[in-house]
Amino acid sequence: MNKGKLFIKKLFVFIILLIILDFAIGSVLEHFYFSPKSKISGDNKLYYSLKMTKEDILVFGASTAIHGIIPKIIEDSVGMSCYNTGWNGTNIYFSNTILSSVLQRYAPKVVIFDMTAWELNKEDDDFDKLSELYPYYYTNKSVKEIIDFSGKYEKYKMLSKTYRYNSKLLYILTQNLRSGNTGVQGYEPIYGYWNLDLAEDTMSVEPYDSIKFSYFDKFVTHASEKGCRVIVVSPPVYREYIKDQYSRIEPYLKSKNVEFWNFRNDTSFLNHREYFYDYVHLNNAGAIYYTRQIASHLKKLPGA
Amino acid sequence: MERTEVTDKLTTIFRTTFSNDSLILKDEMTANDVDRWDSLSHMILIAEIEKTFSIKFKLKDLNRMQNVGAMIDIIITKL
Amino acid sequence: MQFTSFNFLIFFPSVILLYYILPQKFRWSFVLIISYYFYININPIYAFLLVGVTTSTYLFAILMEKTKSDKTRKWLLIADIILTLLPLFFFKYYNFVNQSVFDLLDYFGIRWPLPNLSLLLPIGISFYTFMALGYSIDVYNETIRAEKNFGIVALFTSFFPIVLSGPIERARNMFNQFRGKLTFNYDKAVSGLQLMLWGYFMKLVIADRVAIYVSTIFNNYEYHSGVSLLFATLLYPFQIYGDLGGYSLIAIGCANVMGIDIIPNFNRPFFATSMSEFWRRWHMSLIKWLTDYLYTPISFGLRRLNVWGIVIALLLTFLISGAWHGAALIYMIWGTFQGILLSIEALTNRRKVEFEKKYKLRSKSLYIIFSSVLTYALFAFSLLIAGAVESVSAAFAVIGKIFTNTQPLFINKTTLFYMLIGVGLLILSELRDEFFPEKFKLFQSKNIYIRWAAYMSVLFLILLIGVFNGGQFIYFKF
Repeated sequence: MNKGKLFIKKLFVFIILLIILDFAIGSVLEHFYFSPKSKISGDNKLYYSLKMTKEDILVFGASTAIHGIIPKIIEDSVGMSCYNTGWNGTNIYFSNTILSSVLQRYAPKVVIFDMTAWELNKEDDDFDKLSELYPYYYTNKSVKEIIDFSGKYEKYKMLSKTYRYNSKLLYILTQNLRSGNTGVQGYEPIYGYWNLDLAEDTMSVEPYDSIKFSYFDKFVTHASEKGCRVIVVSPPVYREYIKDQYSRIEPYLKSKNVEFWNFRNDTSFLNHREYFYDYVHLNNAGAIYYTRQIASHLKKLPGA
Repeated sequence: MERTEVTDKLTTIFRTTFSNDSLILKDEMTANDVDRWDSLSHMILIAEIEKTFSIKFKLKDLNRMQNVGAMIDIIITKL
Repeated sequence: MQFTSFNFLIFFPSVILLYYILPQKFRWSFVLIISYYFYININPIYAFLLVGVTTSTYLFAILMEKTKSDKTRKWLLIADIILTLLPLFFFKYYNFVNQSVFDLLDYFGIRWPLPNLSLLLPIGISFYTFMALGYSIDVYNETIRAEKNFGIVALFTSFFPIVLSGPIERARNMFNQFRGKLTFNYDKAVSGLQLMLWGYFMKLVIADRVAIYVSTIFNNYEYHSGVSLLFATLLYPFQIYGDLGGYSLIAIGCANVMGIDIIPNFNRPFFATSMSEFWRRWHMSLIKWLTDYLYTPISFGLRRLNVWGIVIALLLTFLISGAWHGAALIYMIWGTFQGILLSIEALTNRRKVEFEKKYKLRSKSLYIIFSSVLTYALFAFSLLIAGAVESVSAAFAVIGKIFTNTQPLFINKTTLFYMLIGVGLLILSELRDEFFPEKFKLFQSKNIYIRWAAYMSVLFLILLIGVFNGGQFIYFKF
C-alpha cells in the first residue's frame, strides 16, 4: 500500500509538471509562431487573412483558389485592392471561418468564392485541415466555433498549449529564417505542365453533404448581409473526372442574388495542357488567363 | 540401457546434427544454449534420435521435452 | 475505441483507478466486465460471437479432459477446431473463397454465383480465435488442465489490451495470472507506463507520419519516380513496425500496469541477419503460435522426409500465416514467398555456417551490417506483394519502375523532417538496446531527473509531431 501511495504522489507531481511544461513550451512556440516580423509584413498568411486584410476584393477557396486567382491582375483591371486568402486542402468550413473573422473587422466590397466541383461532397477528412487554425483557437471566436463543431473532444485537446502547435514545428523553425512569403498577395503560382493521363475518366458521384451546404449558406448570407457582393466561380479543369453539384445550388444562388461564373465547361481550358499543372490545378500561365477572364466579368458588373 | 549410455549416444547425435565436436550435454541445457538448435533443426534431431534408439515419439512427448534432461528421461521410457 | 482515441485516454485511467480500489479478489471479474464493455463499444453485435466461441471452447475443453478414449478425444478436438474456425472462416474468407470458386467455375463456363456478402469483420476475431484454439490444443496435449471457471476462460478470450491486435497469449500464462494475486506492483506499473509511452511514440510519431509519405507514393505509383518508389519501399517496414510494434507495446504496457505480464511481440527485428532470425524477432507471439500449433505437428508428422519434411512444413505454415494476414491471393503469395526464403535458408544453412566459420565472418561488423541490410531489403520488397500496393501486378510494376525510372525523388520537406526525427530516434534507441544495453540509459536511468526529462521529451514530441488527424496529407500532382 505504501508503494501505491508513492506511485500516486509521483504521478500527481508528474502531471503538474506536465501542465506547467505544456504551458511554457506552448508559450515559446506561440511567441515564435506569431513573430512580430510575420505580423508586420504579412508573412503569416493565415494571420493576415484572419486579422489584417483591408482589401476591397477578397478571394476565398482551396488549392484551386490559391494557385488560380492572381490579385494583381484584378487590381490592375478593376482598380480595387485584392487579396487571395485561399489555402490548400481546405473546404467551406475553413473558408467560412476566415470570412467570419474578416467580417468582424470590415466588409469587403467583393467576396469571390472559388468553388470546386466537389466542394459540397461528404468526405472522411472534412475537418482535418482545421488543425491549421489551432493557434487561433482562444483568440478568434469563429475559429473556436468551427473547431468545437468538428469534434466532441476538440475543446479538451485545445487545452494543451503545445498541442495547438502540432505539426507546425518546422514552419516555426524556418519561418524566422525565411525572407518572405512565397506568395504574392496570397497567390502562390505553380509552374509546369500536365504531361500524363489518367487511365480512365471515373466521373464518380459522391454523396452530397447538407451540413456543408448549410455552411455555404452561412457564408453567402453573412457576406450579403454585410453588404458585400458575393461571386461564386467554378474553376476551369483540364478534364472533368468527377460530377459536380452546381445544379443543386444554382436556384439558391439566383435567389440570393449571387453571381455564378462557371468555367468548368469552358472549352478554352478543357484539354489545354499548357494551362494545367494537373487535372484540376492551373499553372501560372493558366492562372493569368483565368484571372483575366474573371477580371473582365467583374468589369461588366453594374456598379463596378 | 543405462542413463550414461543413453547420454553418450545422444551426445554423438547432437555433435553430428549441430556440427559441434566439443559439445557436452548437461541436463539443464535447452535450445537457447546450443548454436543452431532451433525449430528448423529440432525435427532433424528428433528423427535421428528415433533412428538411433529404434523408438517412436508421440507429439505429446515433444511437448514434454523442456530440456536435455527431460529428453533423456523420455527416451529411457521408450526403450 | 482504439488505443489512440481520446476516449481511451479517459477510459484507461478510470479503469486502473477502479481496479486498484476494488479488493484484490474482485479484480479479475472487474477486468472481464470492462473487457466486454470495451468490446461492445466497438462491435456490439459481435460480442455475442465472442461469447459463442468462448462457450464452445470452454465446453469442449472440459469434455476432452473427461474423455478417456484417445480416439474420442481426437474427434472432439477436430470438432472443436472446426467450430472455432467457422466464424473466422466465414467472416474473413467467405468472399475470397466465393470469388475464387466463382472465377474457377467461370473459367469452365459454369455460372452458379452465390452473392458476395459485405460483412464487417468482427474486430479481433483473428486474435481471439487463435488464442481459443491454442487453449483447446493445449488441453488435448495435456499441457494444461481444462479450466472449470467459465469467467476465467471468458477473460482470456476477451482481455481488452490484447483482444484487438495481440500479442497472442497462451492459456497457461494467462490463467495462472488471472487466478493469482493481482496486487499493485510499483516497478511493473512504471515499466508498463514506459512501454505505453514508447508505444504511442512509435504509432503516432513514426507509423502514422511515415504512412503519409508512403501512401502518397504507393497510391499513385504510376506517377512516381523509381527512386521515390524505392524510398517508399524501404520506409514501409518502419510504418508497419511502428504500427504493430507500437500497438503491442501499448497493449503490454496496459496489462503491466494492472500487474499482468504479457509476452513480447518484437525484439528489434531490423537487426536480424537472416530471414530465419527475422521471424524470431518479428511478431513473435504469432510465430510462436504458428510454430507450436502448426509447424511442429506438421514437421513432426513429416520427419521421415528429413529436410524436405521441414521445407513442406515451412511452406504450409507460412502459406497459412499469409492467409491469416488477409483474405486475398497476395497475402498467400507473400506467405509462400516467405516460406520459400526460409526453406532456402534451412537447406543452405550448413554450408553457410561453414563458410562463415572459414572466413571468421561473424566477427566482422561489415558482414553483420551487410547481412542485416540484405535481410531488411528482402523483407521490405516482400511487403510490396503483401499489400503495400493493391495487386501483384502493381507490385511488379513498382519493382520494374525502381530499376528503370530515373526521375528525381519526391520530397515533402515537412513530412521528411518529422519522419527523420521519429525514425532517427527509434534507430538510436534500438542501436543502444542491441549493442550497448547498459549505457546511455534514459527510461532506465537511475537518475530521476534524466528519467523524467526523457518521459517529458517523448511526450512533447508526441504532442508536437504526432499525427492526430489526416490534416497532414501531402498534396501530390497526379
